[in-house]
Amino acid sequence: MSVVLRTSSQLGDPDVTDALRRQFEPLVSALSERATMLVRGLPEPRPNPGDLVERVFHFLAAQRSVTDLEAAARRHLETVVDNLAIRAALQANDFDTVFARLQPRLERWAAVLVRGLPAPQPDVGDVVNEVFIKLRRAPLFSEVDSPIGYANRTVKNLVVDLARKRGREIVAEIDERDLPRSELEHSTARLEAIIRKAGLDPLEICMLTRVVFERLAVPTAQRECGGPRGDPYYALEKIFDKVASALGLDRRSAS
Amino acid sequence: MTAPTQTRTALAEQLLAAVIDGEGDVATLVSDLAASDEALAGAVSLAARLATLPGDHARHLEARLDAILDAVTLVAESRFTDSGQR
Repeated sequence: MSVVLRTSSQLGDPDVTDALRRQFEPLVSALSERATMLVRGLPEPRPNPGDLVERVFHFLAAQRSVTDLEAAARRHLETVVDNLAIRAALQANDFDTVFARLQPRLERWAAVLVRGLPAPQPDVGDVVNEVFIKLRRAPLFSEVDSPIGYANRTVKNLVVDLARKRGREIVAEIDERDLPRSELEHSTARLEAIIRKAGLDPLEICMLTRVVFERLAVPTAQRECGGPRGDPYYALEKIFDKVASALGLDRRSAS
Repeated sequence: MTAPTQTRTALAEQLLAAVIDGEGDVATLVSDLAASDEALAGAVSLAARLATLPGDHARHLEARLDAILDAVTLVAESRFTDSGQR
C-alpha cells in the first residue's frame, strides 16, 4: 500500500527532520552519482553534485508529506538540474532548448488539469503551445529561480481561466434565455434560474442559497436548512454535481 | 509518521471545506492534492462550477481556490520528470 511520509519539518520539529535525514542518508550515494551524470549536460561553471543533493534534502524536508522518498528525491534532483539548464538557456536566449526541456513536463501537467474541464476539452498540445507564447512574452520568466515552476503556474492559470470562461458562458446563455433583461443584474434571479435548470429539491436550494448569499458555513447552512442529509461537504458536493450536470459542466458524463 | 493516502472523495470534500469555509489543514491538503491526478482535475472542475454562481461571495471563493491551486502548483513542480510520474 502506498504510504505518505509526513515530514512536518516546516513546523520546526527537529526530531522529524532528523528522522527524515536518517532515511535520506542511504540514498545519498546513488543520488550523488546521478547528480554527477546530470550536471555533465550543464554549461560551465557546473554546480557541485553534493550541493545539489543537499538542496534536494532541504526541498523534501520543507514538504508536508512525501510519497516514496527515493522516487521523490530523484524527481526533485532532475527538476533542480532542469531548472539550471533552462536558466542557462534563457540567459543565452536559446528558447528552442528552453521549450524542448519544458515540453514533456508541461504536457503531462496540462494533461492532468484539462481532465477537469467540461467537454469539449482542448488539445493538450494547443494548451502547451499557448503557454509557450505567453512565456516568450513574459519578462519575469527569464528572472525567476524556477522557470519550471513559473511555466507550471502559467499552465494552471490558463486551464483555470478556460474552466471559468466555460462556466460563465453557460450562465450567460441561461441569462439570455430565461431572464428578462431587467433582472440580469440581480444575482438572486440568476441563481434561481440555475436552480430551476438543475431541478434541486427545497433542502438543496436552501443549502446552496444560504452558503452563496448568506455566507453561512456549510455545516451551519445544512443544520439550519434541516438537510440535505449526510456529511455537509459531501452534501454540498452532490448539489454542485447536480448543477454541473444540468448545465453541461459535468466532465465525467460529458467526456 | 506515516498515514494512508486519501481517497479522491475525501480530498474533494476537504477542498470544499477549505475553499468555502476556510476549514482544515491547508498545508496537508495542498500536498495531498499535488499527488492526486483525479483531485487536481476535480479542483479545475470546481473552478468551472464556482464560475456559474453569482455574487461577490462566489468571487471571494474563487480567490481562495486560486490561492490553494497556486500552492499546489509549487508542490507539484517535481512531479513530471523524465524519470516518470508518481
